[in-house]
Amino acid sequence: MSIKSLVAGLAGAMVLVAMLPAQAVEITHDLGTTDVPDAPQRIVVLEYSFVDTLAAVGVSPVGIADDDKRDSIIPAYTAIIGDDWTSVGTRKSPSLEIIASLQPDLIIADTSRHEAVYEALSEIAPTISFDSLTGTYEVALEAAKTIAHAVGKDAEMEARLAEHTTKMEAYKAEVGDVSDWSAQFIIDNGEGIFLHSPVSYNGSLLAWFGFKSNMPSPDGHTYEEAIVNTSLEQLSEINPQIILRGKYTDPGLTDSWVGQPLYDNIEAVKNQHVYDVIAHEWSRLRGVLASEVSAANLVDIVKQLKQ
Amino acid sequence: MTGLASPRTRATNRAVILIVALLALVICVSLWGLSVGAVAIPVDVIVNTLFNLDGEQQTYIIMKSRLPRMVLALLAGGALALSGAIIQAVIRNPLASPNVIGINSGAALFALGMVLLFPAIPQVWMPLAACLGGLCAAGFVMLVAHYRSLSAVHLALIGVAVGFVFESGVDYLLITSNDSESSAPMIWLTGSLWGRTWSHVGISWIPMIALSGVALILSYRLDLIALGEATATGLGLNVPRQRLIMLFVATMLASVAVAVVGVMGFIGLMAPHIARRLVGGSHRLMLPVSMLVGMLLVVLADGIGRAIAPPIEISAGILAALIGAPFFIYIMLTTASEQEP
Repeated sequence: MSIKSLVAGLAGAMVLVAMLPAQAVEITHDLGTTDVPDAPQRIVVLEYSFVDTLAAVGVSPVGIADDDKRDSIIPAYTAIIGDDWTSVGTRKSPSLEIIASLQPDLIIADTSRHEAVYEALSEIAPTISFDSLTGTYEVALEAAKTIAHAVGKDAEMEARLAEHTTKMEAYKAEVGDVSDWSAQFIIDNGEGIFLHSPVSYNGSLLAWFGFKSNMPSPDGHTYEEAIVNTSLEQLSEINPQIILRGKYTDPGLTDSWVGQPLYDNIEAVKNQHVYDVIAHEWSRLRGVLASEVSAANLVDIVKQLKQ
Repeated sequence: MTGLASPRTRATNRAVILIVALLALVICVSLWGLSVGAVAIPVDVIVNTLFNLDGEQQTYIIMKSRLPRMVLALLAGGALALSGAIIQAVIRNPLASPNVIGINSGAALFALGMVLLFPAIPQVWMPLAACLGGLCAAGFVMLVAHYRSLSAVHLALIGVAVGFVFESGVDYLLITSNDSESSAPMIWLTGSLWGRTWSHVGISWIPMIALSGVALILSYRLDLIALGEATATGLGLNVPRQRLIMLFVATMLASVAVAVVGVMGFIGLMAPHIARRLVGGSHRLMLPVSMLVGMLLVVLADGIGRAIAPPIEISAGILAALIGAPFFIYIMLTTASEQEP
């Protein structure tokens, strides 16, 4: 074969490669397998944890189901993604019309919320769906990797996760040995309290820091096992030494229990180790950045604890 | 008075005018519904899209989002109203509606049960579960009615009791499950057209139109039943059997509607009353007018729900009651002296 024909062949091959359409990435997710265009540019996300993942790799979504409250996207996110996104409505029932009008090339949906409209979403754009509500801290990081792969940011996510590990280990070192302490994260919405069990995102995050949990650890990972709606009696039975409390109302239900022996005798209450954290940040946000925010909270709390 | 037109033909003429006017209103409101929503679309773009003309088009929003919703609202509104009208006639009780024979609570229990107890089943099967639940509850009521040939009042009472059993099941599921975040069944329970596509129209239009046709053809039997059981039997009607047939048609209509748009309790109760006030009790006229009123209410409610506070959508089931109730009360007050229910 002459050099001339080799060069011609090579040139031809290069032209062919250049003419190929953008490669699609095949993503396997909760509701099937979807071809996602290479490096999608216009992404709509329907849960907060997906905002977290995109922020972690420096991608700004064009649309967010932010419950029509722009404040719900916290500064840790807006510092990276800016505030140019369009609100597509509530996470429960986002407006399909607004999503369509944004002409997305990828939609990231939440399996338990949006399974019933998956078909309608797929008509608008390739849609991938993940379960954001259940699953541990470790599972959330795995999901973040998959989503980063879908948006063509594997390298960025790898670098960010390395940074994350360094940060988290530093926080862990600051927190020190807490294996003697049982900690419990609870949500108080004014009408009821919800305990986040060891298989929940927050429970597993506390476990990662070395806190004990007095809650039984179920084998399964259903929502009911992760987030347990409970009563004062059960809380006193679990009797944690530290309570991290996220209140959606002020005063909360737990405030009305002050003065009742059952509440006052809980170790954490008796020793004034009930710490308020921001319910929205702890309970609704999950992922790389959210866990760093929570970890910084924990460092402050442990400082107060050790004083 | 000219002396030529008898009171009967005058009443019919009035009804025909009314039906034409209602039809025009339904068409106008449907077109308005196509033009409102979270994204503002000019009329010329809508026309371009609908008739595939040159110029700017909005294919997804018009053809795949608003149009199937509109069609589904018309179908479901008509079916629920028709079902309610039949059940009120058969049970001979103005408070009757599909709810009274347990359809809504049966459908709600099965849909919720599927999502909460069997999370592995894909949610696309929820409509089928709802349909089965409605048939289950109503089927039990009809079975009892069949074996004991009960009076209308007893039938209604048994229906209410069965409804309560299913409703307590719904309450039990809602209270024991704390899955407040996973809200798909809750949105569905308030009756909503959010996220409905042509596939929902595809599975429901044939049964809804076929059953509506059957109901309209058999409407004369309802007039006989309305005369009272003794009179109807005297006129040669097998009342228990006819009651069962009509109830079955009404149950199927409501169950299919509930399966695709969720629970909209208000339509089946109020639309027949509004229709009766407008054209009187003869079912030949009253059934089509009920359907038109039902269509009007659901299409209007869905349009307003989308237009009122975008990007938030308000369920059509909630708005139908909000819009319909004042109108219903107005009609009751202004016509109360003319007719008794």
